[in-house]
This record gives sequence, structure tokens and C-alpha cells, in this order.
Amino acid sequence: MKQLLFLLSLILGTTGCDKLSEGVVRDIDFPEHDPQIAVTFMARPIADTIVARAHSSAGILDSIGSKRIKEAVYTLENAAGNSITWGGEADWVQGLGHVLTDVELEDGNWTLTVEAPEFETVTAAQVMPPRIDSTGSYAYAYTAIVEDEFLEEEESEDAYVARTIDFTLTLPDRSDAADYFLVRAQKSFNWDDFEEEEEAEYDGYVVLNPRVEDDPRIEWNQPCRGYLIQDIDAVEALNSLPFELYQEAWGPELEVISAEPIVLEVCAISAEMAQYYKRLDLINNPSGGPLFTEPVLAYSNVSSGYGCFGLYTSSTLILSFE
Amino acid sequence: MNHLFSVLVLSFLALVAVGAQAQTHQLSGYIEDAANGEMLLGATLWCESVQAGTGTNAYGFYSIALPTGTHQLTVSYIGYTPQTYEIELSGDLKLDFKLSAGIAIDEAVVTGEAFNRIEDQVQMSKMEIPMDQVRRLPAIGGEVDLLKSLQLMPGVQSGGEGTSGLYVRGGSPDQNLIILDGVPLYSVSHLFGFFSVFNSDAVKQMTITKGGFPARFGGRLSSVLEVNMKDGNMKEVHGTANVSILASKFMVEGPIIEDKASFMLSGRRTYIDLIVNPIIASINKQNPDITTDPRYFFYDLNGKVNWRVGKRDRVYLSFFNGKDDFGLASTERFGVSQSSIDFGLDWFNSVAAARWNHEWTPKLFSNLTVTRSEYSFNTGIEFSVTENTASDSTTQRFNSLYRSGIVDHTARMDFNYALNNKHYLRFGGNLTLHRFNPGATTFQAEFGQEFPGIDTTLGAEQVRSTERFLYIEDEIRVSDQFRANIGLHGARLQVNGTSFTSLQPRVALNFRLLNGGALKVSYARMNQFVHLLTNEGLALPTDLWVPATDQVDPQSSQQWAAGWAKTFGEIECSVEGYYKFMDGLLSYREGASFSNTVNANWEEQVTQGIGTAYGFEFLFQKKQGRTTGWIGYTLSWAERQFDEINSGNWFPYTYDRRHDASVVLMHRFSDQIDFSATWVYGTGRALTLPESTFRAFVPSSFTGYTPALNGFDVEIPSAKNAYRTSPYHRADVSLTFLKTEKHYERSWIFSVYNLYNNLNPFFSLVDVNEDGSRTIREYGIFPIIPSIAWRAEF
Repeated sequence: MKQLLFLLSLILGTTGCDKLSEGVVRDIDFPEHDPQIAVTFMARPIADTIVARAHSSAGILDSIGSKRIKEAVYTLENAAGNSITWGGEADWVQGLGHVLTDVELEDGNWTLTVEAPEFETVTAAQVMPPRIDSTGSYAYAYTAIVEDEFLEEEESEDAYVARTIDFTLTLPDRSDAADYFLVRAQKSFNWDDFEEEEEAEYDGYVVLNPRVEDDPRIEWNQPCRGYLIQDIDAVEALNSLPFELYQEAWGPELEVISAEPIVLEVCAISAEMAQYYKRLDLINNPSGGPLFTEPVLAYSNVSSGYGCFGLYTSSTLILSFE
Repeated sequence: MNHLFSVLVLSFLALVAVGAQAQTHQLSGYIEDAANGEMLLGATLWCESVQAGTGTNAYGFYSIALPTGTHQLTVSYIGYTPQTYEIELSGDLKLDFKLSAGIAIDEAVVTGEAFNRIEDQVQMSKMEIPMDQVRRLPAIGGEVDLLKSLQLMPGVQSGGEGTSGLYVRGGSPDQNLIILDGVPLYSVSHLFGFFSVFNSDAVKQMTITKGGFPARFGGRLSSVLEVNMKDGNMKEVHGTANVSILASKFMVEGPIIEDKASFMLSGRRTYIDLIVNPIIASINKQNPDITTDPRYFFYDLNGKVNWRVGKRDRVYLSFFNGKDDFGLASTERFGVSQSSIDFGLDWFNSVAAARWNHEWTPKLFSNLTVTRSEYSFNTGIEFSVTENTASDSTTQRFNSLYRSGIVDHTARMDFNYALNNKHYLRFGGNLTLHRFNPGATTFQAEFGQEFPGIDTTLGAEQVRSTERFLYIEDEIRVSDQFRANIGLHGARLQVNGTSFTSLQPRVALNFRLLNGGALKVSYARMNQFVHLLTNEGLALPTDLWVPATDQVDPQSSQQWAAGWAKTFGEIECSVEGYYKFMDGLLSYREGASFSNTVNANWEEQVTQGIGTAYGFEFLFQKKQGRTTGWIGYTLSWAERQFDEINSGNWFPYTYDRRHDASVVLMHRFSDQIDFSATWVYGTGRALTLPESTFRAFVPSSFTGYTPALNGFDVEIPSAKNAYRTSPYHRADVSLTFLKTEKHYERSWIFSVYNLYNNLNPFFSLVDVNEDGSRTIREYGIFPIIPSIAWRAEF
């Protein structure tokens, strides 16, 4: 009996260890994906060119992935029936996408329709946000005080400037509607820029940071490299938002780099656009890694498709230094 | 709350007034094990002449009203030889009964009109596995686990391969009130959930209630698991020792003063670290510049002192300590520099309780419990880089330590009042002071002598709350055919200047059928003031206990259940259907995780929703005889809805399991050979998988000329829990050889986990193959695992 048990244990043990060393794995059958159009078209009222992209969605097991649809044709139509159509092979610009030129969009409602052979036609609707500027009925205001400045000039090396600025921004806040904004430094810090082989003669970056941690109104958005800002409940909720601006610049001439302005982009964006970018960020940057983060559904305002049609207005805020 | 108190007191007084009119004598006392003086909980006493019976309470105390005269009493308990006594009653009488364990194997149990058959119990949805059976079940690595044995019962599901979490009737693990000797435990897992903290050798009894909750229970939505430790042998010193491939444990018990005071002490420690460390050390020798030092161990320690202070008083002092410690340190040397990283994770449970039983009158019994319970979880990481030169040494160091936990201080008073044979009252109250630490992180950094260091703490502040409840319940014998348990539980939480009050009615009805079976129905409203913040993917100790606050509502539920029960010979059969609605369920928001709570307020990372669970459970159980076991089957649905998850659409709960079946067989071939086998089957776990991808773009600039579009691929997950893992099924067997030596009895236990080597999925991933193609794969962790354990009893 003892011998039998020993033999049985040996067989079972060997089998188990063998299986364990192979790894216990099974492939899962997965349903075939039905490709849909994924649109990106973010437009502002006046621009020389705006780019639209249409790609096909792909199944997760498709090794080629999402493919561009050069044949896609876009139609943008407002409530008055005025429409703009572009796209197809003719408007395709390599490296950019389908380029729409000399854009002038009126206020009000706009509907985007995207058609492509072998795909279901998709549509999306948007309302143009109020035009944001430093003056007017939908205006922002700011104060900027240089807190700290460091200038360095040595003969053998590039000159160098570092500044810290106390920056306070007030954004418009309508009482009868939700307001969403995107604020970003045009020349924001990016590690990829430093990995490029060729260095520019003059270079630098700007970092914009809120001074209050965990301010529910202000949320960093990695894809946009800026802050999504939203009014919450109270009227005038976006008064005096405290930020810190940090600028570094370097180059041969101190005079040139010390006068390097800080350029911020202040955009009034639609709620859908804000939601889309928030979701993209959550999907691409899971806080607890892919295994431990609650899955995020992608947001889209495109019927029967993916992506986003967004309308925004924008203004350039320039801080100059004499 | 004052109004609630008045209602409860008036109800009680009305019942006492009714009872005062009856003219009977009270027979009361304790029922205990003849061999060791251990109190028998749930033992029954049946009086043939008046066709009435009663059971012992959680302390072995019984009380029954009988008229003057001669009565024949049958005293019985599972696994013990029933005894019949004849008594002459002319006044109140205090009488203790002693039962002897060990029915002869072939002997059928003399249940007769025994009171404890499933159809006799008003309480429904309550299950008990005798500890003798638990110890005989096949176990992974030879380590018997109480919670895993419960997972074999219908309506109770496991969280996944090897894990000891309980998912009861579509509820979450935090919705189980797990009480060890009257003290709620917050974390009951060792080894990342593979084992529970309960040492089976130290446990006397465990019962689980899944629905129809009596009013004395509250604070959780889905189940109440009562675990009672052994009181300690009053007669002589005995003990057990158990050695398995994963851990060793011991239990020793004996009298301090014979028949007056006793003790019980048990401990367990794993030695995974002792096995693994020498292997790692030999690997480290191969490259002296890189050393890796993993560590893991867990231990638990139980102790109890039981003192019979007088005829009417007993005092119990008990404690439990358990800890898991996991870590990984790595050092790499390169030239004159050295870098190291040290990661650690530990969690700790500590419970202490003092209980005082007092028999005020033959009808009135009370228990006062004062407890302290602490659960803490800490995790930290330290990086350091040291550069040595001939004259100097510079070290840069960064470390972060995250701490969370909860400390409870509780006082509870319970009364049992045997008003008459038609009313058995239970009433009492509880006060708990909670101190939650929902997570704080300390960061420290040194950057050498030239730069200032960092020493700061971020995270949520401690939250203190006060939870109290009052309850009253009456077990009513309306007629021989109709009995009921009706009660009211009133609870109140005060936290951060906010208070929550809930009134929770409880009703359980039992209708005896003419054929001997019983129809049972129940309704229970439950409230829960604590939440467990958890990622549903993997159960980790990073799960965070948080209170209801002014921003986060408590959980509540309503459960309706109906069932039929009947004993056919030795086999108990029951069929139950249930419907449960839950509100105030807590979940991380989409995209949130434990790491969000490290630096930010947890309340901003969560969202609340509702859920439903419904199904049918079938159980056929044989508890005594040479062959014992059960067959259980559950057909169930569990769904949830959160406005901010899954676009607000309903989705299957992660542990929604349409079919769940288990077959358990135990057979004693002889006094020397014992065999047991289990087979389980469960529908695959619901999970969310990445389903498709698309290329998204963001303008490089939102102003200026021709802004280019920066593109990147986005993986889109399926709808929440839209997919299922493969079904889970597994068979385990165990063969035990027992031999009686001169001073002890020893057993060799051979067991095989996953006998037919089925791959049971633990997690799923999208893998990129060498040729660039992609595959979704399920990974299992436990193949067939044989094991051997040695056990001795003296």
C-alpha cells in the first residue's frame, strides 16, 4: 500500500510540476470585430487650415491595427443649411490628413457627416462655444508677477534663463451653461524633444502648474499637454485660478532668450471635447497599471463610430519680457 | 434614535406582560461535551410530553418552560450520542446536560422528534458544516481552510482560483459580517487571499447565514459568518500538531483549574520563506554584484481563557493576532556605486475580547462583550544610490510609506429571555467607536549634503465615527404548525457631523406541512456603514476600508427569500429562492485605482450605485454516518448599475455566476482509513476585455497655422463585464491514514488538488506573439498539486 501511494504521489507530482513549468495557458476565442469609422475633427471658427482624420477601428487581435481611410468624405453643415464638403484622395496631405483650408465657421449648431466606402456613415453634432478673448463678453483676465529670475551668461557656453511667475487666471463663467476650457503652454516640457538628435540654436520650455493640489476644477490632461478646466456649481467659480509658470530658455544670446515670451493657449471647448480628452487620458494612462485600474469606456459623440467632432474657440495669451 | 429606543422598550414590556400570566416552571442550564466540558452551541432539548423544544444559545445555555410533572427529555447534538432523561419538575430547576461525542459509525442518529431538523428551524438560509467534516475535506497544500469549505455550499462562491474570499448571494466580500468569538474581523486572508486566517484546529463551530437575518445581526448586507473558538478542555490537557508543505500549526488546550477554568492556545506559521531563501541565496552567489532577497511569511495566534466564576457567571478572554509580511529587496553594485530597492507590504489583524455571561434568572441570560479590533495595511518602497570615493561616501535616498487601517472599540450587551414556550426574546445593544485611517503616505528623500531633503505626509485624514444599534427579536411559536421570528434592528452612525439612521425590520416564518416538510419565508432589511474599496480584478490587501461619510452614503439592502425544507431519513433537503436589492454600493470610478487614494482624497475616486441578485439554491446534505457529504447547486443572477460606470447601463457583477455546483463526499472505510473527495463547477467569471482599437488624434496646437495632429492608438474595452472566463471545475481527493500510538493518534493525509489537471483561469491578458499577431489568453496558476500532511492529536 505504501509503495503504491509513493508511486501515485511521484506520478502526480511529476505531472503537476511539468504542467507548472509549461505555464498554465489557454487561448480564448474572440468574436470578429466589425470595423467602424473613427473620426477626429477639432475645429475653430477661423483658421487657415484644419485637419480631419478618419481611421477604421480594428479588433484587438488585429495585428495591423487601425488604418487611415483616405477615401473618407466629410460634410460640415450648419443649422441654416450652409455646408462645406472636403476629403477624399484629393484633399489628403501626407503626414497630416484631410486638410480643410480657409475655414470660417459661424456660431451655432454644426453637424459633421463622414462617409466612406464599406463603412456605415457617421454623424456628430456640436455647438460652437462662445468666442473667448482677452476682451469682449466672454473674456479671460490674468495677472502675472515674476517671482524669481535667474540669468546666466558664460563665454564658453549658452546663456541660460530661468523664471518663476505667479500667474492668476480668471476665466468666464456663464450662469446658464457649463463652461469648459483647455489652457496649455505652447512650448510645454516634453522629454521627447530632448531625445531628438538635432538641437535648436535657441530652445526652452514652459511648465504650467496649478498652485492648489487636487483642485477639482483643474485636471491635467496628458494627450493635450494642458489643463482641462471646468466650472463647478458656483457662479464665478473660475475667478482667480492660481498657477505657477516656470520658464527655462537657452541659446547663444542672453538678450534674445531673456526676452523669449511665454505663450499660452486659452481655449473654450465644448463639453463633448472635454469628455473625449478626459477619457483618452484615463485610458492611456491607467493610474494603477492595466491590471488594477477600473476599465474606462472610450467616449465618442460620433454616432455608430468612434472619435470626436469638437468645436472650440481659442486665444493666444502672450507674456512678454522686456 | 430616542423614538426608536422607546418603540423597542415598549415592545419588550408588552411581551413581558403577556408572559407574566403563564404558570410554568423553568428548566435551564448548559449542555456540554462530557469529555472536555466544552459548551455545545445549538444543541437541542426536546420534551416529548409537551411537544416542545429549545436549543442552546451561543454560550451553550438553554431555558425552557415546562408544566409540573414528569417529563421525558431528549438532548441531542450533531456528532454526539443523543441522551434521554426523565425528570420530575415541581419548581424551577437548573440542570446541566453532558453529551458524549462519537456515534458509532453505523449507528443511525436517533432524531425522533429532535428539535434541530432543518424543517424545525425558523431561521432559513443558515448553514453549518461540522468542524469534523471541515478537517476531513481535501485541502490545497494540506492546509485545511474554513472559508474554502464554505465555498462548497450553495449561495456561497469563491472569488477565483484558490482564493478564500466569500461572495454570498451576489454580494461583495465586504458585505459579510465575519465574527470571531463575537468580534468582527475586517481582513480574513493570508497569502494574498489564498488562505483564511482561521486555524481549523482552534475552531469549535462555524455557521453562515445568507438571508432571513435575525434582528440581533446587523452591519452587513449579505451574510453573517460566526466562528467560535474552542473554549479549552476543562478536564485534561490535549492538543494537536499539524505539519504540511506550506505551514505548521499547533493547538493545545487544558484546564487551569479542573472544571473551573481552562485555556486554549493555537498558532500557525508558514515557512515558504525558509524554503525559498536558500534557493535564492544560491542564485545570488552566481552573480555577487546583484543580490535579490525576497521574503514572505504569515502567522496567526489564537488564545482563549474560559473561567466559570460561579454557577451563574462565566468569563471568556480571547485574542487573535495574525500578520502577513511580503517584501522584495534588490541590490546592484557597479564599480564604486551601489543602488538598491526595497519593496515591502504587510497587513496585520489584532483582536481582543472579554465576555461575561450572567444568568440573572432561569429565564434571563445575558452576555456583555467588550472588544478591540485592529486591522492595518502598510506598503512602502525605498530607493537608494550610494557613491563611494576614497575620501567620501554620498547617498541619495527616497522612500515612501503608505499606511491605512481601522481600529474599533466595541461594547455589546445581549439578553436572551425565555418568556414562555411561545416567546423566546433576544434583545440588546451595541456601541462601536471606529477610527478609520483611509490612507496616508509619508515621503522622505535625501539628495546628499548639498541639497535639502524632503519629509512630508500626504493623504486622507483619520475619520472617527460612532456606530450604535439596538435590537429586539421574538421567536414565536404561534402553533405547532406555524412559528415565526420577528424583530427590529435600529442602527445609527455619526460621522463628520452627519448622522445616518436606519430601521430594519426582520421577519422569518415557518409553516410546517402535513407531510413533515416546512415552507419558510423571510424578509430582512440590512444596512452597512462601512465599505471596502476594491478593484474587482484581483483581491489584494490594498483593498481599503472606508466609512460612510457626508459624501458617501451607507449601503443598504432588502432581501426576500422563500424555501422548502425536509429531512428524508438522514438527508436534509432544502430549496430556496431569493431576491436581493442593494443600494449605496461603492466602486472606484472608471480609471481610478488604489494608487489614486495614495495621494488624493478617496471620496473623489468613488461612485455609488445599485445592484440586484436573485436565484435558487438546492442543498442535499448528510451530516452523520459512515458516508457523509452534500450536493449543492445554485442558479443565480447578480447585476449592478452605476450612473458613472458603463455609461450608466446595467452590467453583470464580476462574480455573477449562473451555475454553481458542488459535490462533497466523505467516507470512513474504517477507524484507520478516511476518504474524501470534492468536485466543483462554476460558470466563468464576468470580465471586461479590451475589444478594439482606433487611432485618436490631438492637435499639436489649438492656435496658429496648420496645427498637425498627433496620433496614438487607443484600446477600447468591452462593455463592463461583457465577457466570461472559461467555466471553473476541479476535483480534489484526500486519503487519510490514522493510527493510534501509545500517547497520541497520528494521521498521514495525502491529498491531490485539481485531480484531473484542469486549467482554471486566474486572469486574462492580450499577448503579442512573436509573429506580431495577438491572442487573448487565460492564465491559470494551479495545475494538479499533490500534497502530504502529518497530524498528531494527543
